[in-house]
Amino acid sequence: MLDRQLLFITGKGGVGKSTIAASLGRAAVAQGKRVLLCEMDAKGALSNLLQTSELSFTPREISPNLSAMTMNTQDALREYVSIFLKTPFVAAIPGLAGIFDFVADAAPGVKEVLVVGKLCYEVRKGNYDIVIVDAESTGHIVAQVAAPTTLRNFVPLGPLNEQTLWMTAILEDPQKTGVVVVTTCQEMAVNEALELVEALQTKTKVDTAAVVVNRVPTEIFTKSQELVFSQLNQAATKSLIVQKLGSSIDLSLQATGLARARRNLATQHIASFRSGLAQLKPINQFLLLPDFSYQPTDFLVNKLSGELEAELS
Amino acid sequence: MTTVADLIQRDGLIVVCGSGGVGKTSVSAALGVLAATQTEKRVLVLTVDPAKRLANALGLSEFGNAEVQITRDLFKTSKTKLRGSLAAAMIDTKASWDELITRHAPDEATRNSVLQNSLYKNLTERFVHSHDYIAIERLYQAHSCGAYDLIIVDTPPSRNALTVLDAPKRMQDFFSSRLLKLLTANSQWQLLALAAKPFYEIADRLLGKGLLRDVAEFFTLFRTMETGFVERAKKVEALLHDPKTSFAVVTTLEDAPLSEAEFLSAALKERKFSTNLAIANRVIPKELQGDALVQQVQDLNKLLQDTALVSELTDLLSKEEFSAGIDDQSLSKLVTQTLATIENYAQVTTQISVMQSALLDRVAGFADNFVAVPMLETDIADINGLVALGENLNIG
Repeated sequence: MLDRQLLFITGKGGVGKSTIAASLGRAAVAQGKRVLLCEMDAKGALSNLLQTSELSFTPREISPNLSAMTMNTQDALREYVSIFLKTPFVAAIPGLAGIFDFVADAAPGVKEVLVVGKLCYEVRKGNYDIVIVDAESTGHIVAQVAAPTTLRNFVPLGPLNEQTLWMTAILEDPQKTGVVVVTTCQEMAVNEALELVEALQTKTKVDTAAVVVNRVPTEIFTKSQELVFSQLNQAATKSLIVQKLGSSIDLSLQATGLARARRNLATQHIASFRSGLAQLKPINQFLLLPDFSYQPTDFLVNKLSGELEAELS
Repeated sequence: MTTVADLIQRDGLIVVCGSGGVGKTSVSAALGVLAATQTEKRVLVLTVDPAKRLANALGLSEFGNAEVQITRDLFKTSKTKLRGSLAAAMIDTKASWDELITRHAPDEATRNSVLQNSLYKNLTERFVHSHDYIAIERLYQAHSCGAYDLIIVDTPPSRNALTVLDAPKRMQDFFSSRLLKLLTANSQWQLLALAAKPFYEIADRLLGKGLLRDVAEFFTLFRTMETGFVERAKKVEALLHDPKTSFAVVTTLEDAPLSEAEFLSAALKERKFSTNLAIANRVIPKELQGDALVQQVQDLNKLLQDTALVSELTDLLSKEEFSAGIDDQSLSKLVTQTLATIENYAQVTTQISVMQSALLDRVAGFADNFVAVPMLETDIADINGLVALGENLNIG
């Protein structure tokens, strides 16, 4: 997926979108690409992960070949107006920027087009090989990537309408643009991811580049080790251990049992996710990434980008 | 110090906030079940986004905007019985908006024009965080109808919870804004006289001709409902600030959700709400915390060194379950591997537990009191699961 020029990383809140976006960014840099990472809200998650100071609308190179920015509708509007309409910015007139903002809020797709337009514009300018977007969560991404089309249907004429055409050309080209749907192996996250993939396929013409299951607990036992584990849990073996060792290993067994149960749950949810996906149009890539919770932030991004590089090469 | 027992004893509201994926919806439902089984209260759980399994756990095929009573039958297999009553509902934004317009519209003509306005749906979905407004409006409606003693609200994930709480204020501000007044002035030509011409030109160039006029028309209609909306928003705000309203923040003991919880709690404080209770979810069970497990890991390590004991253990295993022809040596090796894995996971558990207890200090930093709920082996699939989670919340 890193051979595309624009990737939207999305998923339910809390599944690790920002982490995956940052890690994909690092993986792309490792492949020799010039990368722009963009966060959609100024939550600061991305700057924390990249261990850099607060990001702004103007991209900043934070390490060789890795630039980052934060999206802002007002700035996007300002830039849009100056580049495409060649008109001095409307905010110069006191009070009117607010009204514009309000109307833009009301009309379907206007804000989204400004945002998506800025991203497509970065792709078109070609200063970067790939633009990776730490995108909005599940509820908004469909509206976002479909915005140029929505707007075109709503406002049949006018310059904004014309502008949406080149955006659509970038967004709807699977060679150029893709959505990466991230989920964890929890029930609700998986269900939401399934619904999202379906909505992307039915309501937009934007390709789903990959589905990433994040934080998959590692497999604990092989099949035959499973058998040993269950027999170790039996009374006869337990009492032998107490007798010979002078103490039990029950708590260790319990701790392992809990980890094992969590892993089994995850496996079940992944299986139902796969069978759900099988009902839909095929997805190019299905990635499972290991659980690195309880790891320090810098380590997390390094580890994940390493995993991603290995998976994607 | 507010405990879960205190929370469910009070009449009023419990607003449950937290980052996505921390188990907020399950915790809210479990609080509801606990309150309805421990007290004689009439309890309602209002949720934004229930997992299908959770709906099933409450004996419902799915939730809707209307409140559904949970039947006593559902508790047949549970040792705990309903003492009060329990209802659940999911907030459906569109349906709630339609109801609201119907209620506040001064006459039938206005109501129909609003409901049929082509911009209506889009507008209600966007302006002044209408999802959030409607959630809080729905809450007020359930509260004021007098059918419930205790209402538990599962808010949208994370920072959105704050826009929910700010929604009544925003709605008031919106109606009193110059923006709306300008936009709904009797004639647009007045606006032009206000030197707004360049703006209109640009807006028309950007958005296409006439769009602005449609928007203005919609809001002119909408303004006729101002009094109703503003009064309502004031009441909702007062309800949130009522001492009977409690706030609970749910988090797991990981850095990211915890940072969100801290942010939420600080933001609540800023708005003069206090975080009465923090709920730390998916904590390593008590018996696996502390020295007992650490000691057992050492003992297990001794066992691994003791080849004689390993082979005795191997002898005890019933071989027929393993693949045919497995010899004693391979089986013994398998036992060693398995024990080593167990040692490893036990060790990881103690490490996680140490990290969690360090993070628990951060939880103590933002809430009057906190409870820790253990990590479970299964997802919550039925009422017994909710009862068990409720008990865990109650013991803390």
